[in-house]
This record gives sequence, structure tokens and C-alpha cells, in this order.
Amino acid sequence: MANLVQEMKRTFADHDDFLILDTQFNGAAIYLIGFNTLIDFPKSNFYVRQMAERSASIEELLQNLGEQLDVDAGELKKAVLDGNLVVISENERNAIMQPFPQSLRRNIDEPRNESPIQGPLDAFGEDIDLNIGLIRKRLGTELLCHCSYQVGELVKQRISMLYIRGKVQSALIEKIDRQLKQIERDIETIDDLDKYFGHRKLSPVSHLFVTEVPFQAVHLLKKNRIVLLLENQPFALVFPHLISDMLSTANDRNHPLGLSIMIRTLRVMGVFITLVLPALYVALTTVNPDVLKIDLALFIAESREGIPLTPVLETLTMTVLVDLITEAIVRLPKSVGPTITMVGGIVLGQAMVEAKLVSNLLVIVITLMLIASSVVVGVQNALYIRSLKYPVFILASVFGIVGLISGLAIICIYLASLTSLGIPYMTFRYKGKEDIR
Amino acid sequence: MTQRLQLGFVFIIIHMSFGYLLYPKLTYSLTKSGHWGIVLSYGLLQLILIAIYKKGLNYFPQKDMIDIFLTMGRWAAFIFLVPYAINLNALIAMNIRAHAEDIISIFLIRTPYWAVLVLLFLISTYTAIKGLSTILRASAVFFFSINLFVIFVIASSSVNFQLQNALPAWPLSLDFLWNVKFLYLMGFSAILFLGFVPSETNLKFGQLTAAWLYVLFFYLSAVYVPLFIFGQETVTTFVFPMKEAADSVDLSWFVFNRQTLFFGISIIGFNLILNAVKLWMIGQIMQRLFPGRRSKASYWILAFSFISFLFALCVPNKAWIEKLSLMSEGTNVFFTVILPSIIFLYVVFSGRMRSYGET
Amino acid sequence: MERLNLSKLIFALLSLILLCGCWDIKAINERSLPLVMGISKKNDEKYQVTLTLPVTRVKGKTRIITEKGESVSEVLGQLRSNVEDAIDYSQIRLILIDAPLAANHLEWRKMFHYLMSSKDIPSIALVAITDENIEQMFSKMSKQGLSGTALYDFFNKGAGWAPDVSNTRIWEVYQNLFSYTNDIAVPVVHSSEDTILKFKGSAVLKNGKVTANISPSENQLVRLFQHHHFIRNTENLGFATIFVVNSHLKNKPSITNHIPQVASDLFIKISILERDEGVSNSLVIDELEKRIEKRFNDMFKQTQINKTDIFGFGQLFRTRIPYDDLHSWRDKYYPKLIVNFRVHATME
Repeated sequence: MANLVQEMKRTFADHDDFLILDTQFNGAAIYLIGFNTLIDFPKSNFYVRQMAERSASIEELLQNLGEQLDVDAGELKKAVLDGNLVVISENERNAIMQPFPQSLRRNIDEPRNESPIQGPLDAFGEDIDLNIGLIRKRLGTELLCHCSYQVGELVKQRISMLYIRGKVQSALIEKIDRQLKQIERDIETIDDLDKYFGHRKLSPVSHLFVTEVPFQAVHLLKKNRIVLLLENQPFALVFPHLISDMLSTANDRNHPLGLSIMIRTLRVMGVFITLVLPALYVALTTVNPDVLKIDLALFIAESREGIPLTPVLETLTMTVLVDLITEAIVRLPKSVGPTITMVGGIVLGQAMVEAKLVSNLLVIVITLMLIASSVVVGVQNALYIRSLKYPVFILASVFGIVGLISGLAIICIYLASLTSLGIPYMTFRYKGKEDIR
Repeated sequence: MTQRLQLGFVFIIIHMSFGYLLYPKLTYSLTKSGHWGIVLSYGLLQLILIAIYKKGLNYFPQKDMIDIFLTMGRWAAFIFLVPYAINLNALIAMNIRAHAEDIISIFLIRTPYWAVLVLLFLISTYTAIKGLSTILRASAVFFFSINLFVIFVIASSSVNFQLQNALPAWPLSLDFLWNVKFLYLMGFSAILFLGFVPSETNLKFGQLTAAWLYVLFFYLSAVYVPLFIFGQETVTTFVFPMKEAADSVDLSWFVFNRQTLFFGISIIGFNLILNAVKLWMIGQIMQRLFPGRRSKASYWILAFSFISFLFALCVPNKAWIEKLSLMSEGTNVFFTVILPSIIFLYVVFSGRMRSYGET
Repeated sequence: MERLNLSKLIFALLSLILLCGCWDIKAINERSLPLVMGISKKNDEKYQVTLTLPVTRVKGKTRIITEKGESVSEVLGQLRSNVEDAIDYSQIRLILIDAPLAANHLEWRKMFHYLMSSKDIPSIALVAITDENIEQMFSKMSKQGLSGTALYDFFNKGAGWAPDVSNTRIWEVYQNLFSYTNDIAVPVVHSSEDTILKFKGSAVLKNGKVTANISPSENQLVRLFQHHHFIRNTENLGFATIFVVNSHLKNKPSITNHIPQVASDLFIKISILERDEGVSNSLVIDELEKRIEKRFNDMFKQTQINKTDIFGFGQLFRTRIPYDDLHSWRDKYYPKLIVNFRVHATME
């Protein structure tokens, strides 16, 4: 047996799925080497045999099969790890060929985290080439540029950057290019990638906007943004992330303009209500009942009669409880989820009101808030809006209306201070070419 | 373009913040009739100052005010800007203190003023440290929401208007021009802020005039809304006439009992932006005048805001607030007149020198 | 920069913790929200303040508390420490003042200075005067099912529903303490067996001094001149009953030789609801015009004697009299004022 084959065998001795298949060609042995978990061996073998019948010599066969010929042992090992089939002949000639892969990818599916109404239903999958294909299919122009990167320490992972030439500032592309080339660690999650766009350790707002829908990604590409695709992640990461992403999707415009304006207004209201409502309840019940009309004030007072918890504690309990339930439902399998919703939401809420632990007005307030917090676009955005309500709430419980307003002001100022690579988060008119400060 | 618009927003917000505080009270003490005469002549004088200032600044398209003073010479910058920074500091202290008093009387009757001071100072300092671009971006949101509230307050208080209360409409005399208090009135201006942005990217004179007209409209409203409701005889007895005016409204269809709520909210908004801008100005001045490895604008801002916090804390009561505010405004008048004129004179003088040198 | 932010965050949190558990925090159900405040001063030279507090534990129930003291603010302070809940005066809707106290000019001024400058008591609270014993009146009121809106509604029926009922708020009374050219009418109310209050007309105040009492129908005229409200009401002329559909007032002031003059024309549109046989339209119109003119002239003469400008004619002369002379409007000009009041009635 050839030395090369022996060496390969030694290297992959710990891998039970490593397979060396030897066949004959004109009396000489050739070895097909690869992982049977990544390669469909019977099919590949059949293909090799078919090719062998048409080839006159072993050299010709290898030329027919391989993309690369006669590479060194290191390259061969890498090729095996990447899921390619290595063909080695007795006389130490070798080739790397594209095999029939085991199908490890799911098909193009419907989006799981977003649910577009009246819009295209295909979603990104785990296969990066497929994802790029989905975008290319919609943007058949030579202006769509694609840069590919291989980064990582342990495993080299593919990252692709797509943009439309002429729409994005070239300085910005160079900056991102530099950032992506700097990456030395493994990129597993969005947060790992996020770190390379600037320091935002505790910030709830990411530099990248996540979308599952190719339609949305293409729309944003046309809006002068840059789309990054990570291998094995079923979504596109849009840079820069702007506040308007929270409020509008491309899909809105499948409705008439008036309706889409209404939808977006509702989203703005949703954000506002989520931030304000619990804080307002606390402010009005503990610090500033004087701003209420007398009947409303008496109504609230009556609904709170006999409740042992202070409004602050009461509201805090309920908001945390609601956030817990939301988180629990996300984690649970779909079959158990509704049960939890039932017990958690309805039974517990009802029981708490009947036991006079919380006032029934608060239950209304909390439900309203929960509904409102779900109207924004993107799971990530909904989560960060939900997290921002706590500082407002804390300020409001100390200073009442003043605290509520200053809390909102702080949030506004904080969001205004965010920039990613010099692009402010709070721009409503992102022009790309000129308007970057 | 966007930045110009935002600069305009900040410019307007700063002036409105001044306008709704002590401005009406001073105006009432200056004249008994024809208050618009005062507001407009004040507006005209300020506009002339703005024109002079812009003229001077435009000779240095890429430089801001501090650079210009530094080109005059280090000593000039020290002589004029360090006292100005100290004056700004006093302005901040008195401004926040007075606003805190107003906010307390609207929302937090039993809260001691230091607690409100802590809150306001923390937010202002945070904003100032984040820098001008943050202030500019936030100002757009502030501008629209605040203006909405203010316009709502004005519109809703029109229920109680009795237009005859503001009569006689004509000023009795022009004596107010020589009154010291009119000079104090001139202190309610923040035109010097414009010099902190290089004039290339700054507002043009025409745009500034438009913004200034908008400001004047609100100054008129701040003076006339209480006047329409209470009349000159009564209005002089109030400390915060605009607050009392908003308090007099009772809308039966509305959820809230008191309109003052919205007035209070807008006051908080004004105040945050105003003080953030002032602190930022101090930070810029001190950082450029004392360059060094450890001299960061944020450290200067922190230090100065702490000093003005202590200063504000020490003011015992409303009478002192009024007195000290007027004093700091008075000093501000000095700077708003002196600094633009010096830049202007420098431009004229050095221009002449250069032309002599050429011949 | 990063470290700075973190330290600031900690500082902010620390100060917040410090601030927790403080001054204005009081749950709404632990506050008592008085609706009506009655102020009286008996012969013993002490203020007596009575409050009605809705009891939130039992729906629709109110209770009445009373305290005496040297000044209103002192009594309010005492009440605050005596009642188990924290009393929050910010929801007071009505302040009832008994007639003897209202007649005392100096006390009245002092009291309204306090009410206006008090941060708690809203300046939009209504003011009314009563002749009755306030405590008894309060207990009668609470029997009728007193609530915040009931009071508000009583005084704010709107000109279309009850044109003779007027309301006056604290800030209006306060303004009257200083105004040179305008006086106001404060409603006078009584308790009643089957309604919350009964409207008895108004007391006319001149710079905080009660100078006259006027009846509800006279009050209508005051409202017409002060607020230009339409009068929409029925009027019984004996032989006919008419309904005033629309009204509209025109004032033309002029001044010659320091004698002010107002040509005042009231245009009303009427429809006749019922009439005796054989009564012509012109008769009804003549009678009505005469009636309203007489009512006004009688009343105006009386106010001129009292030097109380209840109709607010002074407002019309603010531009015509030099400002420095304006403060003597009531004494110097008003008694000389000539008003040519004409009513022009037309059929609808």
C-alpha cells in the first residue's frame, strides 16, 4: 500500500467514520479516501468507475476526476476534513474530487422567527452557498459584489459579504474588509462577530440586524446596506443596524402605502407603550396621583384596595413573570407551549387577581404591554425593547412622572450615542454615499 | 444638511429653555403694556449680534471659536474663554436649580431639591460626555416631542384667554431699553454655542434667522399666554407665570387633571439639552486650552458638572435663585456681546494688517 | 471611556438606591383624596376646615372630617397628621366658603393668596359661597351620593343646558384680587334635600370684597357680558312663553371728556313656545326687549353705586384710558359710565 495512504490512515486513526475504499483500475489499485458521514460512498464509487471506463490511463482518470492534482499530504488532510473525496493511486499520484455529499442540509424552508404575511415565504438555510444563491437569484446584476472570507482559529469558517457596488461607500467596505480579516477567534454566534464592529459589551443593541427572509435582505441591499452571511447560520446579518429596522420591513410595502404607514405607526406605538406603560402605572399610583382625574384616581384606588404589595413590587413581579413566561414558551417544544401559556397566563393571572395579590388594573396594563412589545420587527429588537423598560420603570418608581420622562430621555440619548463604524444608529435617512458622518 | 437641521433644533431648544424660565417674569417687570415691543427689540438686538458673530466666524470656515481665539494667541484664549467657561458653569448651576424648583412645584412637592438635582445633573453630564453628535441626534426627537407638548399647552390654555387682558397693546415708552433688567434679558441667549461648530458645517445666516424667528414666536407665547389669562396686574405676582397659566386649564374630556404635566415634561426636555450643550462647551474649551495626555473632555465635564452641582446645592431658596440667576445671566450678556465683537474686530483688524503687508 | 461609563453606571445605581424609600412615594390607596373643602370662621376667631373624603374601601361612601386652627394652612397640616391615611389635597374640586368669612375682605384676600400659592391645592378648584352651616351641608351632600364628577358636572352643565349656573375657579378669584378693570361673580349655593346642591345666584366681588348678591336670572346677563355665552333658555312673559334660540352681543366703547360710553346691542333670536290667544309677534318682542333692558339697567345702576364692574366694561377701556390711570377705573370712571343697552329681538 502506498505511503500516502498509510499516512492518512494514521492521521485519522481516531475517526471511525474514516473510510478507505480500494478499487482496481487496469490492474492497479486506487484508493478513495474520505469520511463516510460526509460523502455518499456508493454513489461516488459508481461515478469513479464510470469515469474509469472512459479513461485510458490512470493519469487521465485522475485528471478527469480531480480539481487539484498531486498536492502534498497537508492539503489532502484538509480536503478530507472539508468533506472532499481524495483519490490516491498506487504510484502516489493523487487528486481531490468533489464527491456526492451526504445530504446534511435541510431544504429551503419557511422562516421560523419571522412570519411574513402576503410575501415570499422562502427563508435562508444553513448552507451558505444556498443563501448566496437565494440572494443572487433575486439580484441578477453584475453590481452585486461578493467577498468571501475564511476565518477562525480551530475551524476555518466561511463568511461572505455582499453589497451592491456604487451604493455603499467604498471606505466603509474597506473598513469592514479590514475588520473581517482581523478575526482570529472562532465565530460561532452573532455576538462573536459583533465584537469586531466596535466595543459594545453590555449594550442590548447589536451592530447587525438579523433577518431570515431573503426578500428583506435584498431590500436592504438595495437600501445601501451590506449583508453578511455566516456559514451554518440560517440568516443574513445586515450592517449597519438602524433604528428603522425595528419599525419597518420590506414586506410592509406589499400593502398599500396608507396601510403600511398604519402598520409602522402601530409599531412605534408598541415600542412606546412597552417602555412607558409599567412605568406610568407605577408613577401614577405611587408618586403622582394628582395628575389623574378624580374619578380615574378613585377607580385605581378602589382596584388597589386591600392589596398588600406596593405598586412597585407588584408591577416588578408581574413584568418579570411575564418575561419568564415568554422565555419559557420560546424554549419549550411546540406541544407543551400552549399548556404553559394557559396555566401561566390565564390561570396564574386570574388566581393572582382573585387572591388580591395584584390589582386587576395591573393585569390589564401588563397584558397590554406584553402585546405591545411583540409588534416590533425582529426577535432581537423585541428583546432589547423589553429589556429597556426596566431602567425606565426603576426611575419612575422613584421620581414618578419626572423619572419616567428622564428615563425615556436617557434611552433616547443612549440610542443616539450608538454608532457602528461611524454610522449612527438613530439615522432615519441612511443614504450610504454621502450621508455618513 | 441633516446636521444643519439638527443644529437648528438644538439652537431652538436652548433658547426655549431660557424663554420659559425667568424670561416672562423679567419682561413683566420691565413694562406694563406692549410686551411685544420688548420681545421684538430683544430679538432684533440678538439678531444683530448673531450677524456680527457670523461675519467674524465666516472668515475662518474650518475653525471654531476656540481655534480662532487660539490663533489670536494663547493669552487671548485664556483671558476670554476661561472666564466664559466659569460663567457657563454658573449658568448651568442656576439653570438646573431654577428648573428643579419648577419641576418640584409641578410633580414632586415633597421631594427635596437635591434629589432632582442629582437626576438632572447625571443625565446632562452623561449626554455631554457622549459628545455633540449624540446631542444633535437626540435633539431631533426632543425637538418634535417637546414642541408638540408646548403647542398643546398653548392651544389648550387658549380656553381661558381673555384678549383684553393684554391691552393696552402699545408700549408706553421705550424706557425699557435703558433699564438694567433689559440687559439681563439679553443674557437669555445661547448664540455663542454656534461658534463651537466650524462655520463650514454650521447654519447659514438665513437659516439662523428662520430659527430665531421661531424662537421669538415661542418667546412671545411665553410672555403672552399668562398675560392673556391673568392680565398684567396679576401676572407680576407669580414666580413661574407660564406654569400658573398651564395650571389654570381644566379640560373635561382629558384623562389628566392638570395640563401642567405637559409643561413640566417639556421643561425637563429643554433643561437636559440645554445643560448638556453647556457642559459640552465647557469640556471643549478646557480640553483645548489645557492640552495634555490626561486632559480629556470627559474628565473636564465631570469635574465642572460636579462643581456646578455643589454650587446649585448651596443655593438656599427662590429669592436667591432669582438673584443669582440674574447675576449669571448678566455676566453672560457681557460674554455674548464681547466675544462676537472681538472676533469681528480681529477679523477687520488683521485683514487690514494683511492688506498693508501686501502693498 | 469604557471604564468611565461603568463607574458612572455604578454611581447612578448607588444614588438611586440612596434615593429609594423616599418622599413622594405613597400608594394611591393609602392616600385620602378630599373632594370638597369647606372653610368657615365662627365668632371664636378660628378657622374651621371641613373635608369630605371618599372612602375607597366601600364604594360610594364618604366621610367628613373637621378641624379648627389659626389659619387654613395650619388646619390642613393638622388634618394631615390626624387622619390615618395621607391626605393628598391635589384632587380638591370645590371650596365652599361660608358667607361671613367671604364678607371679610382681608380674610378673603389672605385665604386666596394661600390657596393660589399652595402647591397641593389645584388652582382649577371651584369656589362657592354658602349661607348655611357647612358641616350640616356636607352631611346632606354626602347623602346624595357625592362624587367628583357630580360636583364638576353641577357647575359645568354648559350654557345650552343651564345658562344661569356659573362657575368660578380659584385662579379667577385670585386674578380678581388684582385686576383693575374686571370683577367676578362667585356662585352662592345651598344644600338641598334631593339634589347635591342648589344654585342660589351669585355674590359679586370687587377686588375680593363682596358688594352685592345677584339672582340666577341676573347671573345670566353677567355671563353674557363676561364670556359672550349664548343664552339658550325659556322666558315666561305672562301671556307668552318664548325660547331664546340664539344671542349675540355687540359692544362699542367710546370715551369723550373722561366720560366713558358703551353702545351695547344684544341681538336675540326667539321662537314662541306658547301664547295666549290674540297675542301678536310684535307684542311679544316689545315686551321681551323691555324686560331684558329693564333687568340690565336696574342691575347696572346698582353696580355703579357699588363701584363694582361686574360686566367687565372696564376691559373695553383698557386701550382708551392711559394705563397709569387704569387702576382708578372703578372709582373715577365707572360711576360715570353710560351704557346704551338695546335689545333687538327677531323671530326665528
